Amino acid sequence: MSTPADKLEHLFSRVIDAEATPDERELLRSVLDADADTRELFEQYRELDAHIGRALRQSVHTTPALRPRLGVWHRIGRPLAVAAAACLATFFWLQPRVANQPPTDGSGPAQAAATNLFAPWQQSVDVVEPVPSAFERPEVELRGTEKDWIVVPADQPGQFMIIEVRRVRTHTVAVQQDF
Amino acid sequence: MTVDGDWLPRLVQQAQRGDRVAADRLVADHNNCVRSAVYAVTGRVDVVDDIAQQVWTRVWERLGTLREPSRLRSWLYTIARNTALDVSIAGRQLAAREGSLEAAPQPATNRGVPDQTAASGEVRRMLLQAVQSLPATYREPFVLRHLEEWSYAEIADVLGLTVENVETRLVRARRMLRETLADKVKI
Repeated sequence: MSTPADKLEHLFSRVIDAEATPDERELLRSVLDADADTRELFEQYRELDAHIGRALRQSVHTTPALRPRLGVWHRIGRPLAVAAAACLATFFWLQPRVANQPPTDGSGPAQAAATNLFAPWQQSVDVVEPVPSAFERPEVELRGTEKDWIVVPADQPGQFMIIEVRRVRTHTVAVQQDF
Repeated sequence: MTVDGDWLPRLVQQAQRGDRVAADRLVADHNNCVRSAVYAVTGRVDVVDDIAQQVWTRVWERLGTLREPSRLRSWLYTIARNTALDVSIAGRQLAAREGSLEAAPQPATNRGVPDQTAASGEVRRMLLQAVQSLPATYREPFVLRHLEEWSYAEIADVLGLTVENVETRLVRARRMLRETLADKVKI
């Protein structure tokens, strides 16, 4: 059997929890208007409820660690940056080193090609110092080799650098079966 | 409570199919609910993190068995509650052998939100102690009402009670808290 105090506390609870009907809210308002002690009691309940609710939320709930939603630029920014870095690296890798070029006397196009990626490609040759005769090697024939020459045009018309090579003679053998 | 909108069933189905993004979203949206359930059962802030981890492990193990995605919240609450009860029972058994868990030091409970004053931290500690001292039957609906802001009907649904029962338990919880805190905290 519920007492008037019980009924009042139920009414408090329902109003605080927003479960009361309009009639119940009106009833409570009239009770509170009529009695200061009841009004004080209700305020105590309401404030206690608010304090505890706040304390619980601060202690138990975590701020959701949601990932920030990335905008379009954020989403494509990283691939773009990677692509740009790759292009830059490729550019520097392909860029010729001027310091490693041979002397540039009379080799204007070669110099241009060496310093400018977009200049037309010009063939250039190394300048070979004549070998003193004292250092010439005796002609030695090796068995199983054959002579070959590589002819490289020089700067002036009619001049060539000839490289003699001896390559090992080879022949092919048909494979009859897997082994 | 049975319908959380069309997006929730879709999200659950995507997570059931192994969609990692959907799974992350589920955790982000429902982690506080799980934490509330754990706290409601145990009344202890210091164990919430550990038990919530266990709850999510169980959830991923059983997500494929959830047949009504629209009832995800009830389903999650049940798993969280059972996990918290299991841990509590295990803890009590351990305490019976090694000493009381109540005597165990409680870590600071002001996670995330810095106290403006030491006094407010002390008040909060007293408020939480008062909630912890409530019998579990009263604490559970009280915590759900305050943390999840569930209606009486929603609380009754997950706890298997009538609405009148929920209301009575809330009234008694408030009365006990007022009696406990009246002479300690100036309200």
